[in-house]
Amino acid sequence: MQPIISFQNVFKQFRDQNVLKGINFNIYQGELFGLIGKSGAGKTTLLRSLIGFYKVDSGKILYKGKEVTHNLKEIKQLFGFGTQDNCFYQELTCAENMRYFGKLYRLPKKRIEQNIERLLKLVGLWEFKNQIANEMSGGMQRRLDLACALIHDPKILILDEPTTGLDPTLRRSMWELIERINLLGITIIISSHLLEEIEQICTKVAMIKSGRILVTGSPDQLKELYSKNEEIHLETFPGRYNIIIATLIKQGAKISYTRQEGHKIVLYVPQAEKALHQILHVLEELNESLLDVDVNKPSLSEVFEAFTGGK
Amino acid sequence: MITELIAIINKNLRRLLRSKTSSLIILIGPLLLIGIIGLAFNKTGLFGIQIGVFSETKNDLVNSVLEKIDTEEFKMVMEESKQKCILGVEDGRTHLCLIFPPEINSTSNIEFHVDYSRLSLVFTLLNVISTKFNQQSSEMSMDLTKQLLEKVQETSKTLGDNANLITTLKENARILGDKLSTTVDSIENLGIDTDLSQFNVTLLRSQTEQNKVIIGDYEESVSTQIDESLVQLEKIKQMVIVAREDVRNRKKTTENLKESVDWAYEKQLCFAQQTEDLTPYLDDSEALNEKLLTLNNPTCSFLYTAQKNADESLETLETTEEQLNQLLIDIQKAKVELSEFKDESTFVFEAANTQLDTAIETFGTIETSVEGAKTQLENINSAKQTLSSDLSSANQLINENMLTFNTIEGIFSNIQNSISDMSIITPESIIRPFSTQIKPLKTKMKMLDYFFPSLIVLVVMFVSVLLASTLVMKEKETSAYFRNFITPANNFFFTLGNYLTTLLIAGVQISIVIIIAATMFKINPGANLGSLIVLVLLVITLFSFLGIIIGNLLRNEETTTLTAIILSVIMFMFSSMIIPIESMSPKIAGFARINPFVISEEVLRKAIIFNRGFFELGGSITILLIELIVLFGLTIVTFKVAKKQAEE
Repeated sequence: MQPIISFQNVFKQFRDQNVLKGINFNIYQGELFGLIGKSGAGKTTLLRSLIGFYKVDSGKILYKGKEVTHNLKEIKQLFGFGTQDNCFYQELTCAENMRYFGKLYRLPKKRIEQNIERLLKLVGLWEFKNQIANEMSGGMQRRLDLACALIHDPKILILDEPTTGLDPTLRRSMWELIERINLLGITIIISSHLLEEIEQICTKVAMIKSGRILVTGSPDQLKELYSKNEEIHLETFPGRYNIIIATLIKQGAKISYTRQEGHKIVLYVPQAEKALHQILHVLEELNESLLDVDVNKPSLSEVFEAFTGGK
Repeated sequence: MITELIAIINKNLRRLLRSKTSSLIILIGPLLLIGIIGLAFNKTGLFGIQIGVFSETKNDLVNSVLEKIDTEEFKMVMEESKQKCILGVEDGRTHLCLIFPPEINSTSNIEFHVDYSRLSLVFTLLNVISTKFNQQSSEMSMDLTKQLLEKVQETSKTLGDNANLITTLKENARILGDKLSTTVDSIENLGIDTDLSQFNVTLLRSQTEQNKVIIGDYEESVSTQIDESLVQLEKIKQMVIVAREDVRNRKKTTENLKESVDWAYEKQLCFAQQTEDLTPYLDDSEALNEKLLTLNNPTCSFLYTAQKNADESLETLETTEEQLNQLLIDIQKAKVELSEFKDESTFVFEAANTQLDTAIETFGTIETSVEGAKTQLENINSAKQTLSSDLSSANQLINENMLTFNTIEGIFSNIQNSISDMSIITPESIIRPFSTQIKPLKTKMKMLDYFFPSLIVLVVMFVSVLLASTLVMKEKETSAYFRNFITPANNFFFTLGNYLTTLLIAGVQISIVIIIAATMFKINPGANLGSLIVLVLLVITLFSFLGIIIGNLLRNEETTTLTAIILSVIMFMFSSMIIPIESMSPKIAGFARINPFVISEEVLRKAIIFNRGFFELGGSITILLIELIVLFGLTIVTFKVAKKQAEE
């Protein structure tokens, strides 16, 4: 099966900084492709290079075997791009924004109007079609951005951090929307630093770090191949997590790495049951009150952390 | 392409007009602007100018000046002191302070105290006030010049009337010169250089002494001869007495003879008719005989002739007697005279001797005097030479004076001729040797008419620069900026769209301004409306490009707005709107002259005020077009820079 998009040893440099360093991966028709990486990893550069916004320094980005930079007009017609920044005009209404971008894509007026209705209904904003964008909530604005990205019926939709800044409810709602869009036959490429998001909706994932693709594959494949720990989510009071971890290590507990998640600390351990005993003992010793404890199966984040060098 | 551009313009307009405040500013702004400016400047001249006046003394001259100024335009505020007057200007209570000197004359100054920080007013005010003062000053000068001209004419007349004085002076000088020459000659001819040694007084004295001796001898001789003469005279006297006695005797005899003849004549009875004088024939006997033969009575004739001869003899004898008597008298007289002569000669000789003594003595004195005279002569000779030289010099000076008199005469003549030839003989022609009349190129225009082209450029500049830069920056700052670039629309369309939006809004605003100005304030936007539209579009384009360049180069709205305002203010300041370009330094003025604001103002002024067509605008339109091309190039370059910045 021929990939719809193929990155072949792509390099991109901004000033003296190499942002993309030999990117190689393929995306196939109908995939919901997740690109995961920390901020500054090169996700946005990679995605913008894909639509020809940036001209790569070397390497090739192919769409159905053709270099995108040689067919930019076609590429632009085929690609839709949703961003975390709500790329529309705040002073215009939903319909006006979509109508404007529809015209820039040189769509017939009738088709524009049809698409406006269809897409606004799809994103749940039809009732708000005449509402000024900056009067809408963050979630609505994000959905409007998605609708704008889809106004010209693209074959491939690129979403750069689509749920950034949204609350969990809105985020889930957005995921559902993305899945619905994907079900329409549109190949979707999502970049995110939220592993949960990628794990939930993507059929294929590529992890990027410092401009390099570390690994690609389905979430399950990656977890199977790279996860060796279980997660213990721990919340104590007063929550002197550094002392707790130091004491645990001192007492011989096997902790692969840790990460703080809000008021909680997540411990990655090979054997959760044994580790729990040691944790309870240390908490008592340190006069720390246990507020909450949860043990999970290993997630994609563990894989990500493993590749990106987290604790 | 058109669809995309329309979409971009539509979007820009919607974004701008979405805000009610923005809409109001865009639509009502020009209305307000033209309304306020129109009401403010739809008149000629100044209005409500307060002039503080301080004058220590109030006289007719001050009052006349103040009356001249005190018009509808100016209100006089009399100040109590100089300081208060100046303070009034500083405080803004008055616009100008006039301080009159205690005495107004040619050396005193009327002081104008103005606040130069009020640049826009001060030059106009000074111009108007100075004009009024100049008028008053001209009137005063007119009177003074009239008096001056009268004096000149009087002088000319006096010169003419007294021209003969110079001639007299010259003649007198000439005479004086001649006399001096003569005097010099005379002096030179003076025999002062006589050799006094020739005066041999000693010899003279010696000779005089000898002469005295001779005279003494001569005196004696004379006396002797006089005595001898007296003796001889006495002898002659006696002889004359004898002769006189003899004559007297002969006379008596003749008288007796005659008595006898008279008696015979009577006895003969001779009548007068019978007698004839025979005397002429007595010497010729034949003639006498013949005569006698003819006579009636020859005896009577003889008797008559004898009678007559006797009378003659008597007469002769009486004469001789008388002569002898006279001779005796003369002899006696001579004797007396000789005696007197003798006495006199004695006296004379005595006097002569005295005189000679005196002469001898005098000669001695003279001898001494001659010696002194010699010295005196030498001095005189020296003085003569000096005098001669001085007189020659004086004569030369008189000759020179003659030349000077000729020159003076010529000068006087020239002065008189010049005065006569004076073509400027009226005070008006001196005070105003040439009349100036300020004629506006266009008449009956109000301030707004003159200000109108600048107003349009001002509106266009601020609207275009600010709007274009704001549009670019708003576009750059919006997150939609990225989405625009990933559409198939040509990237440059967005710049073009911004430009067209600016053009549309500024065009609408200018149209509103022009329509209101034309309808409400009767401003004539120029005969060539087509050219005006094209020019306004070009000017909007020019400033729009500037705004777009600013927007492209800068990175946030605040600095963009600030830069646009600063740039507009700089262009405004470096035009002639506040301070004339000509008052700037040459280098800066050179740049100011190609200032887009100045060029735009120039082309619009020509088009609106002078009704020039597009192709009649000369170099200004060329510069405008060159600037447009340059700015267009810069717009493209800066757009690419901005896009690159956005990509990074």
